[in-house]
Amino acid sequence: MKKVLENVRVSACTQPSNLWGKHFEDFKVGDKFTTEGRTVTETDIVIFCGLAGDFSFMHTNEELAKKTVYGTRILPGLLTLAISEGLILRVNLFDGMEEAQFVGIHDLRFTGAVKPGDTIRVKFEIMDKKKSNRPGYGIITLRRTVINQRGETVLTAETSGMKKMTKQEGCE
Amino acid sequence: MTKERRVFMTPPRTVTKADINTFANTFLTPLLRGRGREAHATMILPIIDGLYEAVRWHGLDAEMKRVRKNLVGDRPATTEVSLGWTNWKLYKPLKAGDTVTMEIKIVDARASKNRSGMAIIKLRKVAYDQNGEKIVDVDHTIGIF
Repeated sequence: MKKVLENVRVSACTQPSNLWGKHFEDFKVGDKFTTEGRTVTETDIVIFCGLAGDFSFMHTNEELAKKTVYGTRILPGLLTLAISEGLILRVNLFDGMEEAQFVGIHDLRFTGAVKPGDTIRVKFEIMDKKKSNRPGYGIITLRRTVINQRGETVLTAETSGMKKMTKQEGCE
Repeated sequence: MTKERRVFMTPPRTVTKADINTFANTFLTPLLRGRGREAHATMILPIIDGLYEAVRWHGLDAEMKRVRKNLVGDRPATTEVSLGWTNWKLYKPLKAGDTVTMEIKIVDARASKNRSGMAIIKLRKVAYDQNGEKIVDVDHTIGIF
């Protein structure tokens, strides 16, 4: 078991961007990334509305929603935000909650409706990086744009995350 | 521009480890470290938005319709859409076992310049834990048409 753990440590040191996400120093202002796509489903809406307790007819009543300008139910905007965050996390640039704590949403705008069956992906850019008040950490601000399968922008936001500044302990 | 001051208080809700894990595993990533102990920030807004749904039928909805009527006239409101969240400030993490309540206040309202018949209402939402400590405050802008 010890040997296995040693091998993992070696991998973590030699391939930090693959296994553990990048460090604060690795990011440059202006870096741009695009995530994979994700098709949003009715199940997503049901789970999300149940968890949040948001049963607005726009998300849960097809007959009423048909009469709106959207013609069908739409996703809660915050579900689009959550899915976009998941897509960004799965790019594996930002490690888990303990090392890359999400610290702020500065300007979240819903610019278009997302419907079940739509496929969304996220384009994001590093806008700013600075030292945090917390020793050993920096704050990275990124601007995300969520686009659907037709290339339409449905959500924009600036968010900040806290990131470790130093390399993994034990790595040179 | 209309300024409103009435404050609405929601009933409390306890956030569980199951809530946090389900959210993380379904929408974020099962690899998220720390999951189960504290809610990812993108889960905090849906939780407080759900609390908002709990009070809207107890005065807040009527208040918003009254504000809309003053701004764009007495036409029946058919659709309400979330336009955005701004001025988000997180004071402490939301952890499994915390019981959250929220106060909501209409802080601004205006008629839309782009969409006839739509009123844009800004709500200030402040969430507290079971000890009365502030978890988050944020402005939520809603369009009603």
